[in-house]
Amino acid sequence: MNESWEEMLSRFVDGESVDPDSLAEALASPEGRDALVDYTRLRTNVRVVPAEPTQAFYTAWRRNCAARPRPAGRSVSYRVAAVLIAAAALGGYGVDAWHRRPADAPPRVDRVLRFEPAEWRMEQGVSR
Amino acid sequence: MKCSIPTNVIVLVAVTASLALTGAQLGTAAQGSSPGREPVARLMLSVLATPVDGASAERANSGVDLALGESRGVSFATTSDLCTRAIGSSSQVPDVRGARHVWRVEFTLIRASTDRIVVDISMDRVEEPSRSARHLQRRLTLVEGTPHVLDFVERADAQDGECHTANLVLEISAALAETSTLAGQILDYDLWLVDHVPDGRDSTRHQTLAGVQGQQLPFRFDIRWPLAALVPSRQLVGDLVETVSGAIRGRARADGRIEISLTTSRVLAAGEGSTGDGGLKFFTMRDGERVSLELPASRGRRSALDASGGRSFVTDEELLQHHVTSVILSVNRRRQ
Repeated sequence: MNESWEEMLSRFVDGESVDPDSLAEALASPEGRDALVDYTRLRTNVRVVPAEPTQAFYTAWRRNCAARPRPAGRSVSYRVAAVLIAAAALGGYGVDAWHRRPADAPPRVDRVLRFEPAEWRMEQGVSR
Repeated sequence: MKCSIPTNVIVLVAVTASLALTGAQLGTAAQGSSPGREPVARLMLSVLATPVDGASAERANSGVDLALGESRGVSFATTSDLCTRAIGSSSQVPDVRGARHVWRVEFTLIRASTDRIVVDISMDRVEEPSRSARHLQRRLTLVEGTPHVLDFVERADAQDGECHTANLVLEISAALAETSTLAGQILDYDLWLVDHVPDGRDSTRHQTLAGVQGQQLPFRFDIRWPLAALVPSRQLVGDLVETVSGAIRGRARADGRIEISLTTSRVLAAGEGSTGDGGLKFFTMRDGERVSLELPASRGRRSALDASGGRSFVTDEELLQHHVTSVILSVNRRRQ
């Protein structure tokens, strides 16, 4: 049995159309027939599993999970996480901006001094 | 057989005896004037030699550490060709065979703070073999590391093949001694130059410096304005460039304040010519305090090209009317 037989038999069990000659060829061999039986059994088992949770499941979930108080500090809501990320980003930008204070922004001055006449050598020069 | 002693040997013995005597006297004075006091400043005598065919260079120096009120001396001797030299503190008498010029300089420390070291000096210069002497006494206020020229001697005899010294300059310099607890303290300087114009846009420049306390650090700022923007009515062509440069020296004190010595020079240039002024300011500041130091208005006068291609004079008052130039400084002790 080759790979294409398996694929073809799987599609057949799922209800898809397949090439009759290929199907006949596959069923002519013992491996093909065994494979068909396996796929049919698997398909049958899948169909008996209920697709919807039972009412008992919902009841148990509400009792064990939904009604349980949220443990403090173990999880963070998306809103809080978003605020924290935004604050970190702004904080980082602020620190960076503080380090790269623009050249045209001198600091506020605490005290003003002047050169007294005795401390300054005034020259009335002329340049041409 | 007649026994004679060469003249140069007699001169050498006389000079050596003179230096030994003065050295002994100074050593006694120093010991008696300040036993156990911690020196606060170092005074240095340096000798610069200028060869006939090259650049000047320091060829000898000797220094003494002084406490306030203490007196000590330094001696220097050289031969007539100025190529054989000896220097030393008073306890180390220079020994020069055939010394022709001999100096003894005595220092007395009066006051000492950052860039203001006040010292009385007494200089005696003796010329051999005539023993002619010259005495000089001065009170100096020295900026650290900036020399004061004390004396000059030129070679009198003809040059020979090996000795090329043309002259010697003797100069004095001073430096404060760093106290052990604060030695090595790093200071971070934040410097701004601000040219403020009322109702206008300020021009600013920024520079940061760092160095060990007591170390002098240079700074420089340039601001350029189009002349046409400064005085539109004159229709001048070109730029006015203001260069504010200088050096800053900070020294941390035991009381937590920082002594500052700020040397500032300003040069204004329009075209090729320039004029300048400057000053030296001493003050103390707190760690992290921001101090603004306003520069006086410039009083220069300069010529500039106008739109017609001619030249006309313009004053700095006209160019920089209402401008106020300041250096803003803050200093922080680096935590180590």
